[in-house]
Amino acid sequence: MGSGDDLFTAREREDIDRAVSIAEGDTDLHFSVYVGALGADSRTTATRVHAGLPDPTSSVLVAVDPGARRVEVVTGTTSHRWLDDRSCALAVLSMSTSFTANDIAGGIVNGLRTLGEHARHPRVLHLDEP
Amino acid sequence: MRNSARALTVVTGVLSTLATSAVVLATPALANVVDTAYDAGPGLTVPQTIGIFVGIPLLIILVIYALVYGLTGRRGPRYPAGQPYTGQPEVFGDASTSADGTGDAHAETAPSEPEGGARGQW
Repeated sequence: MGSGDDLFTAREREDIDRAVSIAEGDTDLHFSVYVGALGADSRTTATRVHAGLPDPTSSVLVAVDPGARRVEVVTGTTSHRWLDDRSCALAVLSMSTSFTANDIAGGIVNGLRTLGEHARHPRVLHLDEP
Repeated sequence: MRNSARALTVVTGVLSTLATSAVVLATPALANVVDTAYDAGPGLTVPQTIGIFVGIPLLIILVIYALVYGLTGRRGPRYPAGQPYTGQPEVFGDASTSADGTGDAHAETAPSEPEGGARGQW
């Protein structure tokens, strides 16, 4: 068990994985979670991680830096169509609430749930592609 | 005088009838125990009784307690938020396939810039 393993228990990892797959099942977007140091310029680091995802345009990245007490949500071109900045801000707010109580995993699950619900949209024939 | 004699007769009659009927009703109980009846054997001693009726339930309770707390009661030290986090980044979802500190190389070739999002601090 390294030092990184102390952040989450196995049960919490399962919860986050499940929240990711539920959010992805509700929408046609890809959700990713990054928990670790983001450095001084957290936005730039989060953007870089987002750009490194397999499909950045339709990906949503939730980046949490527990050490610096920062959380970033990054959306791509396609994912931004279904997930505007207000919804992301709402998810950030709900995550911060749990983080304040030192519940990192619970906050991430809450945030993913919020993002998934806001990104949900009806499938429209021929119009679903940007 | 005559009334008291009559009352005595009635009471005696009722009592004798009751006694007789009791004996008649209880007759089956007086039958001899058949030889094939189950023999309970000698009784349990006090230590045996306590062992069976207290010890075994206690043992079962302890086993269940140990199982429950042994499987779910891991209370390791948790990382306190706000302390410098030096461990490896934890990634979930698609990020686990690429985010291993080599994001720089991907950023060069990324076809699109991130569109939006939100940030927060707690």
